[in-house]
Amino acid sequence: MSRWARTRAALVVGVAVVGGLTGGCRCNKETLAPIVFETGSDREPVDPNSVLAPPWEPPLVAQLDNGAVMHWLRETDSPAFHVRVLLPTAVDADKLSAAATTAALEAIELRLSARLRRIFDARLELSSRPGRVEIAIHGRDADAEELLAALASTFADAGNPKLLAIAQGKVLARHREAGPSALAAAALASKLLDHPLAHEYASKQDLLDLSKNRLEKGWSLLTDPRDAVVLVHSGRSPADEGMSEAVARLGTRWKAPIGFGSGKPNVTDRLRAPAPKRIADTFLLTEQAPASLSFHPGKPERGNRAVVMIGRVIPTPTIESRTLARLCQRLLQEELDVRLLVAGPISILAIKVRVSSTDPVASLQRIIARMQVFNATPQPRERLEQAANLWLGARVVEASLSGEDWTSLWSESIDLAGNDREIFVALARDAQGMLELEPEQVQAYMAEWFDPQAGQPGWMWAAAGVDDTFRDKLAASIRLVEQ
Amino acid sequence: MTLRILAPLLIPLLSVGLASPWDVSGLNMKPLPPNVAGGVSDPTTTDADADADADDDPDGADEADAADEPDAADELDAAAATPQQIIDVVLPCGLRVITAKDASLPVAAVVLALELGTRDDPDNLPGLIHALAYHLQQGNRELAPGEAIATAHDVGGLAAMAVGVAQVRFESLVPISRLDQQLRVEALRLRAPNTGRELWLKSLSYARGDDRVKHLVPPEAAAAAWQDPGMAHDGRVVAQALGDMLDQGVGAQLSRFYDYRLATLVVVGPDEPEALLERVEPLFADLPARPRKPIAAAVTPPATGAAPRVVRVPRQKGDSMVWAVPGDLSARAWAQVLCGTLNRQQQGSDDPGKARVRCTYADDPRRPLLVLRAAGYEPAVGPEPLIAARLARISAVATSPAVEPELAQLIESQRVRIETDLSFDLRAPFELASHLASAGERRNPKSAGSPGRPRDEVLGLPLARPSAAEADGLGPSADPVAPVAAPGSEGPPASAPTGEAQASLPESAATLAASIPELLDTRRAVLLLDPDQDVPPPAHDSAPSPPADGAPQPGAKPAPATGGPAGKQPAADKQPAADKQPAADKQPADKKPADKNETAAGGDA
Repeated sequence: MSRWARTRAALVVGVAVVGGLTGGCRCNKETLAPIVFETGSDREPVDPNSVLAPPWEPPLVAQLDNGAVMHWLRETDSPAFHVRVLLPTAVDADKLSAAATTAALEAIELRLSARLRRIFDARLELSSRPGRVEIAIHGRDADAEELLAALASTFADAGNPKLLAIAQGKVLARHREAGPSALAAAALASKLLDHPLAHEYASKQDLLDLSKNRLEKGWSLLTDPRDAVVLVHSGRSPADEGMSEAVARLGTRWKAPIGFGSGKPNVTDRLRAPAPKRIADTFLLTEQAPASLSFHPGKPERGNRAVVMIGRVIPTPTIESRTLARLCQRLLQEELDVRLLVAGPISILAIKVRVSSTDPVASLQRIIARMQVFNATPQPRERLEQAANLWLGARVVEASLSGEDWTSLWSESIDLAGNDREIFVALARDAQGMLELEPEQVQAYMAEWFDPQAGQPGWMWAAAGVDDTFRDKLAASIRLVEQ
Repeated sequence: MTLRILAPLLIPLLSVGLASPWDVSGLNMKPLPPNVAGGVSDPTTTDADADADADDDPDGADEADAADEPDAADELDAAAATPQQIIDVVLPCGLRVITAKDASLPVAAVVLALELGTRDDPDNLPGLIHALAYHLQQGNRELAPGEAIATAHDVGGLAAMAVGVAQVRFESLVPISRLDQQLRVEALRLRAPNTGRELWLKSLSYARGDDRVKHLVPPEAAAAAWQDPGMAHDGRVVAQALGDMLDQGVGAQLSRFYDYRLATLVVVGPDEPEALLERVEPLFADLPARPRKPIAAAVTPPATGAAPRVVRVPRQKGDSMVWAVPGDLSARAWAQVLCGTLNRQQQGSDDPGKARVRCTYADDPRRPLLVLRAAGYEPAVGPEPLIAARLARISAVATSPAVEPELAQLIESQRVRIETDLSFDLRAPFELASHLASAGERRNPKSAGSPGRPRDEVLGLPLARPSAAEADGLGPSADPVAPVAAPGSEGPPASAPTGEAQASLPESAATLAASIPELLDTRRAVLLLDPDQDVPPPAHDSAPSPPADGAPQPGAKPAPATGGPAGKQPAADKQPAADKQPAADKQPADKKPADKNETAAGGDA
């Protein structure tokens, strides 16, 4: 062996050792700094009932051997067990397509639901939140070890090529092309977040184009435990006999793909999508800086109507700003079909408009005019309270009816929090803040962020179900960009 | 050098971490701080402070934590040692109030349950109770039409209604911050409801739009099992006669049937039960003091002879028998234990080769039913001998568990299963409140003693008596249960070996037999036959003897919950007023079956 070869070999081994000891180290105190949750313990305790927040205590936090971060919420004497795995999709948005995500989730559902059928009262729930998908298992606390074992086994074996191919086939078999509403919403989200459309929307062709390699790549990206967060709500402690082994098995059987590091230590960092690089400076239907309308040709919706989604990104760096944005959306929703997705420092506002073929531009102008009139109208305090109480009450009532699953509320709290330390109090602070908002604050906020022709720029829109008639009429007043 | 090249070298190193065994001490667990739940404040410690605090003196922190642990453990032990209590009182106005605590989320469930149902429909006005229940959503002088529902909906809550054979419930789930408003609604709901023609017609249209109930057992068979003709009709029909009722008629029927003295108000919330009761009492303080109305017990009818009663229902195969299950929480739970046992019971030595018995439990707060379907029996003798033999084996085990230890173990395992199922299903306030609405009525008024009752007792969980071994370390229980004789046998089952083996067997079978003795006797059942089928010979020689201890006969005919229409029930069938047993009832739409394979829930509006 030449000197250079020996040097190179020594270098490789040295790098490997260093890498292994630093990045590769999975479960030790160096990889995860302790989180001191804000609990308000320095103040007079606040009754959780008055702010409609769960009476939870700060969770136990751990990092599993595979790099996943676990938050363990304990409720003494709870007979139920809930585990929720949060898998971010926005972290590798340019590489992870919606089609691959759908196939991977189908594979998980196929394997996991078969295992859960053998556990009495166990239930699987798949859902999505901004920038992530969530896999939740609900069952009895007495069966916690079996439930965790089913989850661990599924992550261990559901990613095999054969099952992924079967899942792809099943998704394809029941695939129906989404209507204009879903397509327009996906197009707007991709524009606002600067993602490829394929990340937000899985067409039949996208599913057909999934090769074996892309399926496996999608599986690896989606289920990488170093990006994942595991939430548990249980009556038992993770240190209990049997439970510690079950948790350890989850950390060992669910393996991370080969790579460096153990992932980001904070769950908020793991789950948050990077802010869009380009901030638009456009308005809607204005002479200066008008936004172009990207459209997808296709068949209109029922009643010969195309769908236009109007939206923007609203910066929401603090809990107070998220609360304001939410209350404004709830108020405006009484007039229009308005949605708001809160994802920490940014939120996405989307308004659905069904435009007629007679005069689509006039339809859009009417909607914008209604928004401006609404923004200019002072909202009485009673109305604010009513909207706030409805939103806050529905949150806890729904949680109670769906089995008192704290992990769902904790997941929502992650979205409301600015950082990990705020998660514990985010729901309570959100509720308290919403009930204390002044009408003037709301009006000023709406004028700034909810007016498509004034206030802050950044408005965009996308249309779907646009046939030739629509296109010609829209093109007379708006610059169109075909997608 | 790329990662791909490095990967083979890194794998062994990485795998060390991946394969490392779980060690809690190695994890970065943050122990639970002392009770600081739910605080809301601005950040007072920066991240740097927090890190510094954490790094300062880990040993000291551990010591502090360790010092805290015993206190927390003591508190937990103390809490566990005190059995949870449920408040159960009757207010001076005659309303029964049950309050319980569930602190998982800041929500409260409120249920106003009335002990009447479609069985109380007058003969000439079928569907009246159902329609009147809808009409109680139309407000009164204090509540606007629809306000009762809007009070819950406006704060994101849930409002529902359940109308069954013998119970009507108004159910709601609201944020705890709106509990007082919801309680106010229930305190006003029955007071002089609006009776305008337009509102009545609207109520009828709502009633007409309800889904029809799918019956597991034909209504005529259920009526026969309960010997209650009021159960035979469709309680959700909206007949022309209802539309023809005058305003005064609607008002008269409302005041006749819907009365707080027949009602139970259940409140489950995160506050202590005493605190919840304090919120309820002032709302009813202005009602005049009146005694609670006597409510008929949901007890099963007696046997009429040596053979089961026969009901002719078209399209029956003659293989099924139906029992009326007592309408109280404990009996309902034990009936499910029995059902689970029968579905898993091994064949007896005398059973025909392919004999099988399949049990289905049709749940209802006050009028539950148990259906046994036999297969592989001798057609000439019908299903009764096979079913009676299976039940007799269970009865024998109740007296002497060692007769068939496997069966005794099976009963115990089913008891544990049902107890676990119920505890799990009742973990949320809405389900718990609906369940408590069927709790057996206490006999003593609030002033006569403590308003608290043990939670497990009120919930009717199937708890086994202490085993004989636990009780005295000797033989079987000192509370023998009279076994039901197997068909053709001369007397009680042969005594089984006693001694150590018997003493260690569970007492579940004995408790089951003591709780639902009528379900172990085929003479208390109804045999469903097609009109063309012949009646098989009876399996028993004589009718069962009545209880000797003078206790109320479990099979007494249930009286109507309220003064029913003339001619609805023969006067002779009515229970004497002195009996004053709790009333009978109906079906919950939202009742979750404890065992989806064995339990069929009834439907509600």
